Amino acid sequence: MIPPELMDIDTDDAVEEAIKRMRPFIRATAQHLSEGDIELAQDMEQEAGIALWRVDPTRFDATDDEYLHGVLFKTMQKTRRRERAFYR
Amino acid sequence: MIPLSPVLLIASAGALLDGGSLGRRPGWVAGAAALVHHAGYWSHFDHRGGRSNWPLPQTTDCAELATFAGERSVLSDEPPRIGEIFLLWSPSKRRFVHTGIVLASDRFDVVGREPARYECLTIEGGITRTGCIGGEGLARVRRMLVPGRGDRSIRWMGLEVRLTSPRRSVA
Repeated sequence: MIPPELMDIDTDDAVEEAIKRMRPFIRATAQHLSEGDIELAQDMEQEAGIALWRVDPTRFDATDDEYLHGVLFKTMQKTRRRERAFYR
Repeated sequence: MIPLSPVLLIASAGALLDGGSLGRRPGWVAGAAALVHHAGYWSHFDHRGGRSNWPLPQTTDCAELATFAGERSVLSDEPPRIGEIFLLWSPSKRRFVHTGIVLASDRFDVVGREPARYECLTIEGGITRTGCIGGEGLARVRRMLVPGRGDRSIRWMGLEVRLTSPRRSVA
C-alpha cells in the first residue's frame, strides 16, 4: 500500500464533498421514489453515495451536475426495483 | 542528448511541490497538461545542446496528448506504471479532461463486476483542494485510475527508440 503520510490530497475528500453538494437532490429524489417508505429512502440514499464514489467525482466539474443527477436517479430507481422485487 | 527517463521526470515534478502544501504557480491555471510539459521539458533539457529531448507536444489539451500517443502506439489501457503520464476520462464530456504524472500504482480490488481500479499516487496541476479537475492547484494526489472506464496512460519512454532509430530517420 502507498503510505498515507506521503499524501497532500486524498480524493476520498472529493466523494464527501460531492455527497454533501448533491444531498438536497439525493434526499428529494429518495423521498419522491420511496413514496413514504423510510427504509427504502435510506437504502436509496446509501446507494447514491456509493454511486458517487464509483463514478469518481474528481473527474467532473460544475458543468457536469446534470450528468451526475442522471447517474444518481438511475441508481435510486434501480435500488427501488431491486428492493420491491425482493419483498414481493 | 539526455536519454528519456521517468526518474528525471518525477524528480523535476517533485521539485515543484511546495513542501506538501497545495501550490499555486502562475501560468498553470490553463491546466494539468502545462505542468506535465513543464516538468517533462526541463527534466530532459540538454544545457550544452540547448534543446530538450522531451517527446510529448506542448499543449493544454489532454485530447491532443491522447491523439499524439495513440498515433505512436504508446497510449496504454494497461495498469498505470511509475513515470507514465495518465489521462483521466470524463464520461459526461466523453473526452480526456485531466492529466498528471504517476508516482506509484497499486491494484485496488472492488467486490462485484467492477472493472479493475488502480490506486495511484500522482503529481498534478490544475486541481482543486479535493483533487477535482478545474482548479489551480499543484499537489501530490491519491486518485483512482480505471482503464476499464476509459482512463489511459502514455508510455512515453517507448517513444525514444521510434524517434532515434536509424531506420526511422532514413524513412
